[in-house]
Amino acid sequence: MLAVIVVLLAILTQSVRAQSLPRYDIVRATTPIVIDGKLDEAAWQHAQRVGDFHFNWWKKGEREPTVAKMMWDKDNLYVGYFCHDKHISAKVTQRHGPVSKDDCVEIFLSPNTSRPKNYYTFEINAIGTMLNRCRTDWWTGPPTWEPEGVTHRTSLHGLPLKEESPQDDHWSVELAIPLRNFVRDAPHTPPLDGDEWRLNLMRTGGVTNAQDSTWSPIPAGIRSFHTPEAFGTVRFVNPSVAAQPVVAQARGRVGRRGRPASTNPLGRGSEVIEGGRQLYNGSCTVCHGLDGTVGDRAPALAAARRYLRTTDDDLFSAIKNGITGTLMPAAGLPDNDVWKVVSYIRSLRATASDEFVAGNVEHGGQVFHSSSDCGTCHMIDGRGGLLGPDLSNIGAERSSRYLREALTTARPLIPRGYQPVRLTTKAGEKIDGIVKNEDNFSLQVMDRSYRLHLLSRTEVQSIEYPKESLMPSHYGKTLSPTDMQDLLAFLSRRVRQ
Amino acid sequence: MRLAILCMAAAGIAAAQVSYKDLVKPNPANWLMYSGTYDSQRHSALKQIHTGNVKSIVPKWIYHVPGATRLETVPLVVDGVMYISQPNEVYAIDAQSGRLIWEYHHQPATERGPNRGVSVYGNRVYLSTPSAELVALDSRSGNLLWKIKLAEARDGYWSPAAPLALKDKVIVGIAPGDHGLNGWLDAYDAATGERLWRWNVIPKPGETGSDSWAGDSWKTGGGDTWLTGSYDPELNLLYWGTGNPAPDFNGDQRKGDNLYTESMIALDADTGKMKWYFQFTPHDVHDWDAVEIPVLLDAPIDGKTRKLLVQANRNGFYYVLDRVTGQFLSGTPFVKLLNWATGLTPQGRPIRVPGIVPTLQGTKTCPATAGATNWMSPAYSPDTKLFYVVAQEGCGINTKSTDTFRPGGYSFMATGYIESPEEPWQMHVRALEVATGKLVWDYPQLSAKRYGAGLLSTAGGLLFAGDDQGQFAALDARSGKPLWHFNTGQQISASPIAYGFKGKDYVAIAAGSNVVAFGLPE
Repeated sequence: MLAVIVVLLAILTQSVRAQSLPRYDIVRATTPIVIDGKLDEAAWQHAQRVGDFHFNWWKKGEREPTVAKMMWDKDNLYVGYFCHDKHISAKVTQRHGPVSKDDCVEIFLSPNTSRPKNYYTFEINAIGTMLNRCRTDWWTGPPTWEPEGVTHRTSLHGLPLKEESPQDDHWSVELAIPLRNFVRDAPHTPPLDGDEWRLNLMRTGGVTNAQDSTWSPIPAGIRSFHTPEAFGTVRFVNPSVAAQPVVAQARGRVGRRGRPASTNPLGRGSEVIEGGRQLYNGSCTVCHGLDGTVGDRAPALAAARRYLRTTDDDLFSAIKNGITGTLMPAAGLPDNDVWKVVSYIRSLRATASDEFVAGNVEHGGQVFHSSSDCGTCHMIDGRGGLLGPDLSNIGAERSSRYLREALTTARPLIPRGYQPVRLTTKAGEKIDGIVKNEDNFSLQVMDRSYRLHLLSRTEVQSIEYPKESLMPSHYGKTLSPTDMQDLLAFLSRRVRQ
Repeated sequence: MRLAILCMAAAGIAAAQVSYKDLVKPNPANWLMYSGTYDSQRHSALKQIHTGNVKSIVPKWIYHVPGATRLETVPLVVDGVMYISQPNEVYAIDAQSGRLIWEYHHQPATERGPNRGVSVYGNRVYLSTPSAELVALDSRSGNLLWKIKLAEARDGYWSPAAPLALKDKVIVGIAPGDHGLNGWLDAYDAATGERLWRWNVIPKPGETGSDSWAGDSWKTGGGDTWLTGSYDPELNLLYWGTGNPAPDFNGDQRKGDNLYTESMIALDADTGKMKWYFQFTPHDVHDWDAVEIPVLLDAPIDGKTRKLLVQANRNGFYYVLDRVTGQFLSGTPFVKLLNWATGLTPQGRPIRVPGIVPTLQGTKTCPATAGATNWMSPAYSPDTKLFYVVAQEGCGINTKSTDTFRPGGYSFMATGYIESPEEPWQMHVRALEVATGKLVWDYPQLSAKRYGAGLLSTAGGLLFAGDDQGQFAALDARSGKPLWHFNTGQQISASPIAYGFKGKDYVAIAAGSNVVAFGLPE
């Protein structure tokens, strides 16, 4: 027996050396990831795929590809699988059941390259049943393992049974594994930029055309996924320059940094939000106002102010359980309905780029730069005027509701840095422009030709501050509804990469 | 001309476009590039503040840069607008009042420093970033016009130096050679960011100079361009110093001279083709980058006026080169603690003292790796004909190990040095006779740490110098006698500038986390 193992190990070592193991850089998630099985966040688009899966034991049949990607942030490792599959079947619903007999995806990962045999497994079938093991030299518990805080969804999540169907084409899995599960083995939790781990991604094939495939190839002669020697190497890196959300703006640092990832299982699809809106307008408006706009007895949730509760989980808890000591009651809704309301409330404050703003984007750009006069004052990506704020990243900074209001309603207050001014200097020069900055003794003015005038108050003969902003509010009347919608669609997509 | 300036001042018009003509012959009221002028003399023609009244100058304003710790920025001033930078950030302020006009915050805000300044051309401000990008901003509003990738930040590249703008181009260098990443100098189209040429510091096999690297050692040879160079508009030549070879302290695997590390390079500004080079420290094992500012000046040598390039090098020698041909004319030690070479050959090659190389146990080496000088700018006064340099007297114990290159921006130095416990570290401001390097006066700066501030010479007969204790002082440029000082309260690690606005002259310097401007009382 020992001899067999020795020989096997020798073969294994040789063949592993003979093949070069794949490598992959895991980039930081650049947007919050909603675990809904859809892989529709912009961050997933930016992430590179790991590469083709290998069919180590292939004999015959179609080799259906798998697209897998990984990302990370300070809390989680995210794994996404998109499985091309014409025969999808799954029946195991029991936690820790034999899911690999179904159509199933797996990740085995070893957080320490010097101890690759300490590895952890996550196996999820097409209907979302998971099996976990902790295969480490220190684990003394049962054969299965309960990782903390793992969230996962598949595109067929929660079905009691999935039988093969002629419509089958693909299925997908989205998985967030909290990094704190690996604190015992990982050199750093969360990993430092540049830390390397080893892991493999695998897939099993169910009943018809039951192909097994793996990201990192398994050496010839071995018939098991449990082969840590053959795990590929992944490196945790900060994202490439191109994949960063950019919040670069003269004066003001409006950003979306640090918004926590949500565990909302329903996501933010338009049907979910619409469902939430109906529930909300059915029972929440008494206190919070219709569409969250005007609240008599409770906060107007769409108002431009900070929430106390900003994560989906916090909102869920407030709706589900009420807020002790306030008028806010427990809603008495099923969990799924509560999540819908959460999605709706979040949508009230989402920035335009996170909403789906319909319209002809290209035509909206023409409205901005040509047929309307927006580009006279506002710049986008280096084109346009300087008197108004640069709008190159406005889709990531403001909601579409805010943008529409800015175009149609005069604002009571003019933001700092854009106050119109008309002054005459003691030398007799008349200057008409905006105040970039001022104090009791000096002022810095940009005139309408974009020239800067740096003045001491003692140089100023007379000065007036017109109350109307230079930003017109007539676009509700002067733009056709189509032009307005297209302009909003254009603006909502202005996100700097 | 004077009248024209006055008229503009009266109208209060600021932030006009900066043309190439302006850069070649700057209005003395403006400070348009890192070293003041293309010749990098750091000499201001402003003389309202002079030896007779400097004792009465007062701080006019302080601008605190949010989040800054130890600024190394050299502010630029264009018609009353001052541009200051720190890594990932630019602030435009009213140079008369110190009030903010706009600010720019770059994303990704990779944490890496320092940033030594920006450059200006047309209506644009150029910033290079820790993420190895070049950014063009509208100089009036701070709007981001475009950004381009210089190199792969994930490989470890970044760009700390102020770019240099000329003739519709922006010249940009890169760091760090200490990670075994080969350097280059790039030219980009000032309007679009399109790359016009690249000159590689380390020649590839088959190219001239490649035989100065053993085996494959050229692949990780370092040689970066992390300070700003100089330019001669008449000769149309760029002069740039290059950094150390890698691994820094172990030369065993890179036998040969290791061209073109630790060299002065003259490049045709239009094509990026090398006109000449001069290598200061062939096959260095002490991390003595030769990026120190090349100062261009014309002075008599043996009775005949010549176009010169002078550099006080980190290796302890003050070099005088002919900047047309690159011919070595002379080299003289400007520090007393120098034990690695007995002198230079007639061609300028060091005559080495055997055994002064890093070892496992450590070898005492003078100057220390921090260098006889470093990034702190020198200055030259055409009035006194003196070259001013911040000299660092000190020694190091240099050690050596074996190291292998790892991609991804890891240090590749094969160990390093500690300061020698036997000699105290001492900073000096020294004035040298420009043609001979002979010491004319010496102003010791009481200092605890290394790396002080750079210098500024003015037509008022003054030399401004800061130190690591936070003192900003004006010295008599002819004698080195201190005439004025101000305690800025924070360690100074940047170089001062002079500018004027609305008929008043100012001197400004980044001190710790602040920029402070000084002028005569009202």
